[in-house]
Amino acid sequence: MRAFRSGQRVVGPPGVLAVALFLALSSTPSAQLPGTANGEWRYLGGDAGHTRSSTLNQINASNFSGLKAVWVYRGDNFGPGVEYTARSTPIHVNGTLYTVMGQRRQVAAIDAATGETRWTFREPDTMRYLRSPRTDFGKGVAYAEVDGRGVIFVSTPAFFLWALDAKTGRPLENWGTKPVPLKEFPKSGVIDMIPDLVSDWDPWLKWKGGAYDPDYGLPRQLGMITCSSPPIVANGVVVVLAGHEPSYDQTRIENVPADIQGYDAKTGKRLWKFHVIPRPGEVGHETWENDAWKHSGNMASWAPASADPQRGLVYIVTNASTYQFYTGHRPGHNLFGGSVLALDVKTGQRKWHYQIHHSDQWNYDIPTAPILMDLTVDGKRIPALIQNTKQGLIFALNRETGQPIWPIEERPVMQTQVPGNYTAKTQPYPTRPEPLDKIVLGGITDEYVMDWTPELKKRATDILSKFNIGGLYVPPLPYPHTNSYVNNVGCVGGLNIYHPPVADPTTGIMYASHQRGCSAPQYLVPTEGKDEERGLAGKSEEEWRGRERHTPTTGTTVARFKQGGPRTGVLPLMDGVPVYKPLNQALAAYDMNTGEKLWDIPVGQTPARLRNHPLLKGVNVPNVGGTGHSIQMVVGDLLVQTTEDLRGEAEANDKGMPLLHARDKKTGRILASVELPVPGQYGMMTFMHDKKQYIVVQAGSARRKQPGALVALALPD
Amino acid sequence: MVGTSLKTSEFVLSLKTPLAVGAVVISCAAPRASAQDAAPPPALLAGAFSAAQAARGEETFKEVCAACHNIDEMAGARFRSSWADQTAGDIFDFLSNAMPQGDPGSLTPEEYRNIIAFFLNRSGYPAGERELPVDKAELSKLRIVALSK
Repeated sequence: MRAFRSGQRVVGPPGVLAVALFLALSSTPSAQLPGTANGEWRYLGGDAGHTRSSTLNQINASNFSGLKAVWVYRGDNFGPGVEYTARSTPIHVNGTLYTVMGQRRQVAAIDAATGETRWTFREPDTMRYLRSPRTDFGKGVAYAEVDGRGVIFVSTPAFFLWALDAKTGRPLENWGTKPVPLKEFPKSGVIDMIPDLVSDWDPWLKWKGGAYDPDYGLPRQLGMITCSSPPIVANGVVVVLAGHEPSYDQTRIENVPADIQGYDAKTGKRLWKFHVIPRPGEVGHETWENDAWKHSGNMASWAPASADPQRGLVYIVTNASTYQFYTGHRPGHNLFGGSVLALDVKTGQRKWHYQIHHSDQWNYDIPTAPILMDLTVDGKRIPALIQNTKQGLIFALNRETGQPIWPIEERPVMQTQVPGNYTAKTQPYPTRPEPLDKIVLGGITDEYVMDWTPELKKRATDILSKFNIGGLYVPPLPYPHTNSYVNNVGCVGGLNIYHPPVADPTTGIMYASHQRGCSAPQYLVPTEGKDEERGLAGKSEEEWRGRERHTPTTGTTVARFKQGGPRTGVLPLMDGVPVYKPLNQALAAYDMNTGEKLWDIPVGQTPARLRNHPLLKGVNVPNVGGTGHSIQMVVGDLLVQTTEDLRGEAEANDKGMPLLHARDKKTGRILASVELPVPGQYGMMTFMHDKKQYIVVQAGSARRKQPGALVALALPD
Repeated sequence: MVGTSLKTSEFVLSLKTPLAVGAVVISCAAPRASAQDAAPPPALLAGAFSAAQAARGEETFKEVCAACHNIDEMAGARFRSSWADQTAGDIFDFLSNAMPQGDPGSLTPEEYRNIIAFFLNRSGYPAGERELPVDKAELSKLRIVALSK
């Protein structure tokens, strides 16, 4: 137990130290779940608990500024177009990195020391691949050792599961129960997961539109299924997560549920399936009123999963059903949407669930993997699960039982005015820890109104007086409406998929970057049954072939309302200055043993556009952070951190070069910095190979015309 | 038929491809004879934006917007139906107040106009010789209206 070695000081509540020490020594082998021992990074998030942390310390504050880029693995040639994203975090096993690249989600095995390609794997083309949305959201691969052989598992946009020999990249022989009947596919090593997904699904069983076409996939009238997160392997079971076209981009109400499936890593046999939309007799079925479970789908798992092999549990988070912004056709809390699910990895049985928000209709899909680490709360050792959200609320649960570590209250929220629509009366609010940004609790209240000059405060107050102010869970208004105000306004203050939180299991501290955003939801207008046409108007589906990411809506019934109406309901800026105090980017640290926020600091610098704004002349503009999202990981005593250039601008030095910082993980203070050749994005990882520690940063910038890449840094010999 | 303001059109931009339903044109709100009653003079068929402006807009879109948005999922019929009966000035207001998310208003007015031109181009409107007007009031005269089948 690293944190409690004899001779080390233990920080914790006095009086309970002996108990904690005893418990730690006797029952908890490590606060960190497996994955990073021996310099490896076996899971997307480093360890199975997705903490994105490592205890390696060859790279430390004293030598950090001496880091050099030792290789750059470029993503240019892994797709039909130049791709600026690098969304996938590599894993490291025994001197080789494995990841997926580009829109094709090609698998690449990369020499850890040199960046040389060892092998690549590309799935044969299918129509169902071309129908898949967001094909570059691969995020990575899963790894397991099967009978002593390393195996890479990858789930693809076309919803195939592949098992590849880690040494050669070849599909495994004698793996999978039925060959895929497509000409270019091998006889073994791949599974078509669609038949498994729909084998007990009524709309498919009653389908009269023809036999299953393994090239096309699921008929569009029934739905469309993809994968946007890698599988996770625990205890010999490959758990596969399913994805969809985001439900905010749909217009019709039917889709296929994103049921979670478990496959035997050794044979490829399908072991179980978990219904994310509960069937009759299953827990949660009653949360689908008016039999909405029959036609509803989606509930995809966009974010990666975590696992606790010792407990035999896998943890999965979900998003909303279709159509997202109007829920009149699916009244009820809609389990297991917007939830954390704990499933028995051997059977797929639900151990527990916790619904983070009821009946999602705000695009609050849970964006990042659950973080698993052990904590000492009030002297008691707790196997914890920490779930961050787009909202900025932080949920701390016991991962064995699903019980909240601190009370979580159901609080009343604003209700919909859209005819026939449904909103839950209350939503869960953790009492501890405090949100990443407290603005989410009450919205733009007085303390958050822009007041940097008296004139701006007056203008902001005037503007806001025309709006109905709320925090989270602010529903869209119908248009037209008869309220005296223009629109509702709400705020979020959390994080998204591209800047995942991290944690240090040796201290129990969690780090999360966050951004404030207040806005007025777009109005909802009746559809009168009219659909939006997508893609290539008047062209056949065959003509989509070769065009990336053309994904028409699925299903048959158009939702009663859709986003529309005049955009006059938008919350305006004041000549470019927001009506609320901005917080572009900040990085917060929480001691999750106590639930206390330790510090919260701006990342980067207030943009010059705001600093030098004519309306702010003479004002000492505070640092509200830069616009690039902060990405980070824990390395020894450091929080290694940079900012991305994709949805904002990366922090750069006076030469315009993006910076990678070594921050003191106790205070957040920058101890050393080094230039990066390409701005980072999404995440990073570290590993040790041949006694040398490397840091690999996912990188790329459309602004700088630098394609998606992996940048490896190490100390000179 | 969403909009009836064609009767006030000064000019109409024809679509590149005929659409089954909800076809939309951009018209100027200044009072004129109906564009449906009589074909507008050829000179008035010129586009309200240029190909070069749309290309600049595409460049900015790729740099700033494409990390979150896919043009293929936003332009075309969806754009036409979403903005029917509103003006290019409304689009400008929306974009410059709400986008990019996290840093709204951070592009120059010129960049916002270029992005509108890019959307128009990818939504079936032909490019012409001129560029979208700089003056906001002029921009707000470019009304996006629907045609009947």
